[in-house]
Amino acid sequence: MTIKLITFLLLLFPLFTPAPCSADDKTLTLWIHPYLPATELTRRFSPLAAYLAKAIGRPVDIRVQKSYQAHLDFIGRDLADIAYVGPANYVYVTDQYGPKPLLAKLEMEGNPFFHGVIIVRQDAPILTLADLAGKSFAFGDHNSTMSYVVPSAIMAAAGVGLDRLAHYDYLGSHHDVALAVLGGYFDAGAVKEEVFHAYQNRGLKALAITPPIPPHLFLTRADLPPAMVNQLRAALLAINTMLPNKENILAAIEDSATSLLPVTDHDYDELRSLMKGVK
Amino acid sequence: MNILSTSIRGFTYNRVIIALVAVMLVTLAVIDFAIIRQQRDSIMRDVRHRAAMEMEQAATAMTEPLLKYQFANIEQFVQQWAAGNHEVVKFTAITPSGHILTSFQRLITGPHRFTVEKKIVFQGRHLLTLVLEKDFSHAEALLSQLKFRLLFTSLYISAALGITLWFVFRFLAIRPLEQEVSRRRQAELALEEVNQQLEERVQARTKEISTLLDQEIHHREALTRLTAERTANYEETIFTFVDMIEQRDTYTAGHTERVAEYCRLIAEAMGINESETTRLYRAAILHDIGKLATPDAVLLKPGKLAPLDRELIKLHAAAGHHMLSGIAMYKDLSEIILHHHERYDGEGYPDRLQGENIPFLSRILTVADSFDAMTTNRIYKPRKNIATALTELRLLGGKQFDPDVVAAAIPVLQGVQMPESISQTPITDIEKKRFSYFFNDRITGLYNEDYLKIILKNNLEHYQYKCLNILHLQNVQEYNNRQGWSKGNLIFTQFAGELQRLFPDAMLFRAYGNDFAVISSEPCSLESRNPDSFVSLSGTGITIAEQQVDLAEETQYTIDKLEKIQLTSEK
Repeated sequence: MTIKLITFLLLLFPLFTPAPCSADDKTLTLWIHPYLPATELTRRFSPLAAYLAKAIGRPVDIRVQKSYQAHLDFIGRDLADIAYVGPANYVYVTDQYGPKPLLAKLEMEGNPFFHGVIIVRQDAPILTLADLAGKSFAFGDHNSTMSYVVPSAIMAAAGVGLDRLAHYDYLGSHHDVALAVLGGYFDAGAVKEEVFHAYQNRGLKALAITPPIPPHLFLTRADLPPAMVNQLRAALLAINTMLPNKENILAAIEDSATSLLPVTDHDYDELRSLMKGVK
Repeated sequence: MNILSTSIRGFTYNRVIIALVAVMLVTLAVIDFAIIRQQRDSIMRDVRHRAAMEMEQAATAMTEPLLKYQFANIEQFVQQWAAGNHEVVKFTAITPSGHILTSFQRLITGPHRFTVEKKIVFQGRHLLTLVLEKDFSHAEALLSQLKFRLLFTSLYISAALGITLWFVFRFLAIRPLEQEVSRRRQAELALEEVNQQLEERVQARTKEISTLLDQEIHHREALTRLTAERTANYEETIFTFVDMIEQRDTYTAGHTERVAEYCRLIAEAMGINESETTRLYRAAILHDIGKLATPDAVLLKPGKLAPLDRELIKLHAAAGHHMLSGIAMYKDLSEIILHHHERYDGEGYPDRLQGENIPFLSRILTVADSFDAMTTNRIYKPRKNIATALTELRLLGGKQFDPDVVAAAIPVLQGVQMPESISQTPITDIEKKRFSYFFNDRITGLYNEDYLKIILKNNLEHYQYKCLNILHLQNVQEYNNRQGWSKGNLIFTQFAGELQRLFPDAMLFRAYGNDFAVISSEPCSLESRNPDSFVSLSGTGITIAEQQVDLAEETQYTIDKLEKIQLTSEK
């Protein structure tokens, strides 16, 4: 199936090639998965795009994908010059399409890792993951690392696969998940640590916490000239030292973003192994 | 003017108005209360209805997100909507399992709240329960505002009503009444004023009268005093006159006193009134006052009066009238006095009036005067007894006297008591002196022959004296020739002194020059006196021829006999 896909992509290749390759001074595209409305994402990433355009001397356009799956495929077929991608999707992309040149990972609150939390009501008679069998469960997004991918992986590891749940659903937002559990609509749910802390006082408790999960990262298409890759990497990492711009650029993307750090594929090995268990 | 009555009436109708206003106010307050209550119900219904509508809308809006599990949106909606709606006190979303999905609580809330609940159900599936607690303080504020407005309106209406009523009362009902009362009051005041003026006038008049009365009383008192004084003066003057008469002549004094008393008796007997009687009495007391002008020689002359003397005596009636007529208070007496010697037959003096022409009181006085003259002794005339006098009066009635007066006088005068004897000797010093003019010898101071004659004459009636010794001095002429008259007189004086020593109790007389008489009340002693025993005569050659007359025996002895004796002894 992979071969067929590659063949298909190759067949299409001539059609697309001229665009990115036509000239070095051509516009670069920065692709983002739709975790927020497109306009919001465009607004958030504009400062970064402007910065990069200035740093590399080429215009940078912000593009938002229709879906997570489209994002994966687009990155995998090297259609995006620059892409912003979550950890789980990165693992999927590399698993399916091979390694990509990495630029930098976005550190949150000075922490190079995240944790997902499986939540239940404080007064719920659920003490272990195994107790979740026969209960209802709320996930965030099917493509979300911390609200679905990793939690479902550790649940499966604990012997509670999705099929063992009474029912489950994808609510979309971490906040909706937290409120759904608080309101009793679902017995348990999965949210990122940050949201758990936000709702913890209202009556939630952590049933399980995921292993550390590396953050989101920027990568390029595999066929981008290495000079450009290096130039982009250097420009991104340089943001840490450029104090005036750092706040504007990083905070625009995410309030809690603190810095852009060098990244390697090994940073995602643990996640990759977790996800293998899910599959 | 009439503040009091107006204020009282004003107070009364003001009270009526106040009561009406109070009733009005209470009624309006009750109506207000009903309105407020109705309004509150209405407003509350409205508020609840609106809240229910809101809940319906909210439920509609929430159904889809709920179905999509968009709880964050729900929460956001709830929080935002509640925060934006100030009437929301509490907005709670409760899940079917009973847990609170989200809750909004306003910190500052009012006291008035209500709660609306809404279940969100979709196709028989209970999704959420919304519990909304709203504050209707705004409605309450509105109600309160309404309440105040109504109350204010009520007050306004009541006040307006009160004022209107007051005006109506004041100007339509009370004013004419007040005017009437005022008119009456004014009339009363006018009457009062008139009364007061009248009273003042009465008081003034009373005072005037009182003053006049006081003056009158004073006047009368003064008059009374004056009258009393005048009367006193009158009486005093009369007494003074009487005193004058007494001083002049003791006999006349007693005489007037008696005559006055007889006049009074006769007047009373004739039924004359008191004042006339008194007048007559006073006139009687003063009837002989004119005799003050009569010379002593005539008045006191013993013996028969010469025609000239008689004429002088007659003057006393006119003199008395003259004296008294000049004094107003005695003028009416003077007329009586003037005519007290008139005769009924017109032969009297001074005016020879006749009968009824003589003043009546004068006629009485004439009778009384004559009666007393008859019944009293005079030195020269012995008295008649009462019966004799009365007989004489009767005889002379119609001639000298008014017969009517005589007729009235006789019965009353019959009973009068005459004094036993009326002293013939002088009583006062003046009388003695005056007496001596007539009856004392100039040389010896002894009584003279005139008095001897009277004594002897009077003794014929009373026989008071028993013995008369006549001492005839002889050879007196020779002695005088030898020694001179003055020596002879000295001998007489010495002899008289010796006689006085010898006969201290006897009356001694010198008569006809050389004769001396000794009258004693002792009977005559037969023993003869030694003529030489008289010291004063010794060596003078004068001798005494003594003759003793027993007056008890010689009852008819008169002075004529004495003369005879003397004559015989001279021989």
